[in-house]
Amino acid sequence: MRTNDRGEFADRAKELQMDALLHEAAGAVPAADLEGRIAEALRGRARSPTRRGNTWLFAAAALLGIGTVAAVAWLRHGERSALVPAQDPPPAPAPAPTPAPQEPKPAPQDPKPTPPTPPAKPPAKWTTWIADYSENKVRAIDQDGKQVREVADVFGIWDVELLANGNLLLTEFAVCRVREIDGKGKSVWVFEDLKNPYDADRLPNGNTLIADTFGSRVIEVNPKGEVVWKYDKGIRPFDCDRLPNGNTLICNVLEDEVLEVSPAGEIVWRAGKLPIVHDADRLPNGNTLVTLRSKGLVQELDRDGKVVWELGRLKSPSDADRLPNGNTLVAENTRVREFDRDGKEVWRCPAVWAVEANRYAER
Amino acid sequence: MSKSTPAAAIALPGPMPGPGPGPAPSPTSDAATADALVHTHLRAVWRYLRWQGASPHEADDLTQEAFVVALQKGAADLEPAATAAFLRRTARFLFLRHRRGRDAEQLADAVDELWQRHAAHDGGEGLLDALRECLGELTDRARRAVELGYGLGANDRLGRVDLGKELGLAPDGVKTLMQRVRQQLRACIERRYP
Repeated sequence: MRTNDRGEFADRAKELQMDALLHEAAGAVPAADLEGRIAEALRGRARSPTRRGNTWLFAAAALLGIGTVAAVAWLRHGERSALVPAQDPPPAPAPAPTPAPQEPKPAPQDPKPTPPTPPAKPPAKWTTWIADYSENKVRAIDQDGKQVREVADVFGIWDVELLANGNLLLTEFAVCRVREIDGKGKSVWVFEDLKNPYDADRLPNGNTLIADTFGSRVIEVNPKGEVVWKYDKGIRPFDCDRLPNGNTLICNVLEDEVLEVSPAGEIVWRAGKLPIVHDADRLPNGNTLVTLRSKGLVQELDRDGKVVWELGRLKSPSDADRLPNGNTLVAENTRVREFDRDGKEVWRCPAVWAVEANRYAER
Repeated sequence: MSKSTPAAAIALPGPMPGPGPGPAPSPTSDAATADALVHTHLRAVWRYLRWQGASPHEADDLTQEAFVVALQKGAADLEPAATAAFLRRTARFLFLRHRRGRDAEQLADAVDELWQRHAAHDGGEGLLDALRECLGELTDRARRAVELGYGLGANDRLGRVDLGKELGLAPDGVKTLMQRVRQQLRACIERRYP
């Protein structure tokens, strides 16, 4: 063997892996139309006899009406595309990762898709805002699956919140900022003294609570940009919520735990052994809904940390919310889905990499 | 995409042996099943090819070809884990078709080992998460170098000379810095993904 050992190849493989990972972290993704191209190639192959026949007919017409050179070119093109469509596909009308325009159809990754459950009565109007990390955009989807709004060029978006004034609060991980934009997309408030934040919430007092993830702190910032509260005791917060009792719920990925911290910075509740806990919400019944990304789980924990409800087999979930109707909305890697209490899927919307989904009743 | 080179030495994997893809789809590879399979596995196959060293554009083309070939050979009839493995083997076969020599195969083997260790269970999502977390552990200067060197965030990707100007380093200094940063990142993700 020319090279002396497996070690050299292992090192080169690690270099390739690191390069690919860094490029992907920088936003390299498969071509947006790749799924459509594959579908078209598959259909083209299945239809190849017909297509080939049509091409021959067309070639004959061309020979008669246009000229030999053009006809031969078409013939060659037709033969090639009929025989090897996968290698030279036509530009396909790709099924873009946007929702169906009419009703929310099940996305195609479920071999036996579950149709949306027909509601017993006309549903209230609502909109689901989705942060799509890979696409650097946020989208609003109505209950019919129709996209009603989109904001692009939000870099490394990890959170989107619709505010009471109709503005959006955006958390941009990649450019280390949280900002509020108005309906025209203009920034009306920006806070940038951050290191790759994952989450931000506007509080009832007008301040903003931010999980400054790689700044290793949770901070409350007033409209002037002043930090008026913080908790920074050995945490890497992926999510934070201010609770009605004034405490703050924090997902601390450094210790695989969820903490409830008092305004004085005392830990008053803790649930551990929660690897890569991306999201935690305190429910009205006092339980806590946690999202475990690497395990593909959403769990409801009681005050003792016991699992009282669980949703499994999810695809890298980053966020889960309990909806007023008792269902659970989950942002997964390639979709956002709503599940009923029995774990049955009742709604879904495709995405490239959904990291946050929040549903709002129509105002 | 480039036209294929006949694969003489490398056998195309196939649970349904045969001379090659046939014109008729198998009964289970109807459009909906095929779409579902593509949607589920596309990102992982593409990522696997990128780990193997394919450029993004090449990975797009080979991913497309891998799905067409694999579906024609009955990949949709397998269990999900077996489908994923079959797609990767097909992708590997197609990738190596354009690379010659024993070294290419050995390197592909080494990448396969990494994939099995780090990504077989989740298609590499966890490792990517770990890398993002590790980026946050770098010093400001090192992170800036990676951001500019790889075009992270809203930054344009810079070459070594421009990167050196930005960081106040000679090109060789940039090279050293980037090597050190990559080692740091490697150590960090191996801590998280032993």
